[in-house]
Amino acid sequence: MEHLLTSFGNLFTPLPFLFLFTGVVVGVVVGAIPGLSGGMVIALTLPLTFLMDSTNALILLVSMYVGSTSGGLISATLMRMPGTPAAMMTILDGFPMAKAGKPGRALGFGIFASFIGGLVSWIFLATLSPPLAEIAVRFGPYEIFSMTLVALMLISAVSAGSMIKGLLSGMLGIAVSMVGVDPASGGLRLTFDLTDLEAGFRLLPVILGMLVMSQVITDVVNIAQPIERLQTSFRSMFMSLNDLKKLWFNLLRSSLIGTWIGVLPGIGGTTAAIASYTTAKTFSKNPEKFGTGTEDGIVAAETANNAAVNGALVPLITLGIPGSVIDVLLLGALIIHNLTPGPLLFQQSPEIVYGIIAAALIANIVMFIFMLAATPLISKLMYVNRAYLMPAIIVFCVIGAFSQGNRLFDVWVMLGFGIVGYLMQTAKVSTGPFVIGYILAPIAEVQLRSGLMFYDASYLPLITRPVSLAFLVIAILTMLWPFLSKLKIRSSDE
Amino acid sequence: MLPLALVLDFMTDLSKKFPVGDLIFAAFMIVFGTSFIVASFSLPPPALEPVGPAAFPQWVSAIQIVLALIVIWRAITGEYKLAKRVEYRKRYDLALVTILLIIAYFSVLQLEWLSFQWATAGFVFFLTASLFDWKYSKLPIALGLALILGLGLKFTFTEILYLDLP
Repeated sequence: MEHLLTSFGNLFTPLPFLFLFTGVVVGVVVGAIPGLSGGMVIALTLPLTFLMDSTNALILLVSMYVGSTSGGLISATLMRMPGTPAAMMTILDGFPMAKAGKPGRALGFGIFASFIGGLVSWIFLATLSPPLAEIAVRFGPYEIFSMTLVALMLISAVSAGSMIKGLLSGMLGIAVSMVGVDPASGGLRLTFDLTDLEAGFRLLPVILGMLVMSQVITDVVNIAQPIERLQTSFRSMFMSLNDLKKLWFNLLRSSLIGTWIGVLPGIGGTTAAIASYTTAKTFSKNPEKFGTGTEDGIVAAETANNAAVNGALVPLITLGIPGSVIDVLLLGALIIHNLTPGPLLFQQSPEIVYGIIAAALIANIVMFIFMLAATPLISKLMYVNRAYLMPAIIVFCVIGAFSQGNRLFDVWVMLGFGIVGYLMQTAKVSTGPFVIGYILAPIAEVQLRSGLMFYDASYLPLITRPVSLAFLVIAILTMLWPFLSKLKIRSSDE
Repeated sequence: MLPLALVLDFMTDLSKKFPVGDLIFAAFMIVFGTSFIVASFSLPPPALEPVGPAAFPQWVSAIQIVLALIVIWRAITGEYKLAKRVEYRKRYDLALVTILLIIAYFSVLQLEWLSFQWATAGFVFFLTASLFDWKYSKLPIALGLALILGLGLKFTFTEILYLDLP
């Protein structure tokens, strides 16, 4: 509690608050512009944080995360294009309501729902994280290995589209992470006698290529895509008390669904929004109204995707397991700042962990105020021609890729991964599992091989230690679940 | 004969669209996985623990190749409908121009033909102009953007943020 209060106090000093405010504003604007995403802006910002104090860097990045997740609703509602994937479900009711002449009402409901989702899930983040970290700090290498395995399995199971392609994407990420120095023996591996590969494929070039460059190429291909335009005004965005009375249960239920799905590693806001929207429709007295512009649809989708942000921070800061691709980037930020993600972070750098927790709440409040005040302006900004943005994004990518190691080789690596990422998008292969596999695989390998050294080359503790066994069982069930559910559907069809 | 028959089936059945993207990606994965397996054979045997440096790359690459083969099998034998018609023209030509300009930009930096600010200004001008299909009315804006980004970023990153630039 003391750490948390100190972190709140720190947030209200000028510099950290400036970073928080900047993060929210940039996040909301970027989230609102289709073709740009929270992941992109965070990846582009990572190199700028090199010289920053670690706590301030994390405050900035978390604020961008909160802002971008919320900003996506503006373009989803006014342009029928989700600014971020998590706003996908918001289109279903947000756009029809806006088109029916009530864009302000649609945005107002979305902004309020995002705020409530963020608040409820923050309570879980603040209360669950410290005790969970206290338990997790007793984990040995095999427990951490099994836990990481769960995350890797979940990623494959929930990857968008084909599961096989998701797995393939994850495997490519794992393979790429293995180039360079072998983490256990310290020897070189898979460098193909190229000196430049001895340092491996560095984090920033790979992430910038996979997430940003690939998206730029996709955007160039789709540059002629026509956009429907709607505008809104400030006054029309406020909700009445009656609206609140009607929607409070939906708000609460969607917050809980979003938080829970966020806590599960690898799933993230998009699935949370889908699950919450489906639940709201199932239990609604008027399910036929869903998809035609109902308040319940907007509230369910927006509450859950924002709740998932804080939910996903729980496994990230307590166990070092990312809940989504953006969480992977936050994990990368911790590594870049020489911090060890995982339960020990609570003991070694409490100011960072509590800084993240405090920033998640204040960023949510700032997001609410900023979006209410600035959405009419942002709704004009988001129609800026993407041809002006793309060259700037590419130049920022070059600077970002170069800055981690001061090598032009990394810039070429970024371009290579950009082209691979574009090919993956063309083949409908999600790049999310790649990024997560790339970050998590080294952790899994190091822990397994440390465990083997620690337990005299015995694999047995993997199943004799209860926590490790429990995680292994969850990992196996997670891997089998998609097959089992398909079998179940087939047998019920027959 | 079976694969040939399947390919012919695709070429004659108009209800299917050949998933070229899937095949390119899967082929890339097989080449990538095979090269890793071959490279991992030259790694030293395990010393401190029984897994060693080669095992993980070998397992991962083997799984990768199997999954890629499944993707190819599905691509050939799967039911594919014709792609949804898009209301706008996809600009693959512009994407190619963009990639070529990026390669030229990186090459100029690599060979040190121009300093960062001028290489960047040139790249931004040519790319912005290309993205606007070289409309005369947009060229002054492209030039302005190029100078702002080239000179502005150089100043910001070297004089304010103290970061090295290519």
